[in-house]
Amino acid sequence: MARYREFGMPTLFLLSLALIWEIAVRTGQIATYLLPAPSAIGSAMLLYRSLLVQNTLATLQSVGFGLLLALSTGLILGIALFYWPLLKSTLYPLLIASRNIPYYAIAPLLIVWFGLGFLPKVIVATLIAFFPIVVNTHDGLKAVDPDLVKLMQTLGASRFQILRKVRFPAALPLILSGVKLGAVFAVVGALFGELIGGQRWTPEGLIGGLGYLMREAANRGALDLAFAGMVWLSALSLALFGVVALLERYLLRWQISERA
Amino acid sequence: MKLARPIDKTHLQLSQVSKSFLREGHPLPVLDRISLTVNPEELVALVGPSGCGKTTLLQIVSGLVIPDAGEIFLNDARVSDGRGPVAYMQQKDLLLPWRKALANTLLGPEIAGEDLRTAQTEARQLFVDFGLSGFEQVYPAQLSGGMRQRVALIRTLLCRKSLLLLDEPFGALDAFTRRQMHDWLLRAWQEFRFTALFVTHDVEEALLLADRVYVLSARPAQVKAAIEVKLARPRVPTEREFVGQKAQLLTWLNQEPEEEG
Repeated sequence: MARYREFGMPTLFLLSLALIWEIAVRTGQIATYLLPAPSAIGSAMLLYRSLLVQNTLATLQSVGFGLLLALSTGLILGIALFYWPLLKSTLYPLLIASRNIPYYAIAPLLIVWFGLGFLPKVIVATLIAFFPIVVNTHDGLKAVDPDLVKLMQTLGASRFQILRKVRFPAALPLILSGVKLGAVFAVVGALFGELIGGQRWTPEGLIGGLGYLMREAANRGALDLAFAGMVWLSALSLALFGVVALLERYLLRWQISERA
Repeated sequence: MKLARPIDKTHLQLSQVSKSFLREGHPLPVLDRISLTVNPEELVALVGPSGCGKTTLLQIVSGLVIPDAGEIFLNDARVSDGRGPVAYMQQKDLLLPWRKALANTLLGPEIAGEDLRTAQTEARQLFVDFGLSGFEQVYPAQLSGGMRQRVALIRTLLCRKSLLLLDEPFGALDAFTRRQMHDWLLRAWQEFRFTALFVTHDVEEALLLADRVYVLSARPAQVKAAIEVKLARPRVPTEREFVGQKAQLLTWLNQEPEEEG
């Protein structure tokens, strides 16, 4: 029953929404050039499946690179901020303040600097995925029970041993929730880069990612294709979130036993 | 069972150790010229009113806190910070929640870079000795308070430090589990002959375990009395001699501090 409530009800709600939508379009309440029917989106997904898959892979590539870059730099900077007070007092307030800057706004500049290719998309994705990771890493390392650290000290542990055996594992729940947030942000960042960015030639044709595809489709009035791109984008975003959630479940399996 | 490397014999001596903390800009004296001795293989208890600085004293011996004055001798060598041959165990078991029970007990050997296979064999035997067999691969959250404290005790033993500092190690346990823990501790002591200095506010616990009990005054703590407990083990709290010593100890504890002229 609980599982039915968790998944069944939202699914039922979505299906009835789609049904109302379909009826509204078919009975002519809404013009098809403004809003294609769900069935039309479905057939567009079939018709353009190769194009959609290629562009999804392109987006995934930008998101993946962006997230990996954000993860590695975020972890390193988070740890450095924790251990280096001067760096922290210089950078941490700026980091917190700069969270409010809309990084999408610098995407046009990045395109001027780095061209229409792969790089600016990765940079935007990295920039916005980076913040939750670096801040959560620092905060997580800091929130460790000081008595655990004292215990390690009396055992003669070095600073590095304390980091590896106590601080990092203790910070991991917070770091992973930062990564989850970062993964979602990276998709948004890459998409924004694609929306204003360009494409590249591949044997399959012009590939510029889902954002590029949706922009071009909408410009040409192919709203069914634009919607199909959105479906793939949502699936990509959910899948990425799911992967990080699975990783979290595995890495924090000791917490699952704690809840039981 | 024997540890692969036997525990060294340790002799601890504190001489005129004083410590103040700063509170709101004013010095708050916590320890006032404390002198005490722990001989090899002795179990020594510290009792005193709560907040009198017992924990600070243990932290000084463990090297976590530096005293303002006084000297600490470990095996007749003067040490300014006692870090090294001591293992410190608190009322909180401080098990790492992401490590299974067995892995938690191996923390000391791991940090010291010792051979983990030997340590693991010893740990497994200690799990059996302490009635924990079958719980080696269980996360701490799934263990009861008494079991967690026993795991912490195994971890402390496996550090192979010659001096154990126990800060109200059983304070958080219910009375029944606590009595059980006393039996485990005494059994481990008979096996390994370690030296231990422990803090308690349970007078009966002090008399059940210790060879000598130091009674501390209220803050700033001074040594009011050092009482030798000559009772043969196993001790029974209802025996006449035990009851007599308990009365004596309580008298010392409740005595008002003497006016200094």
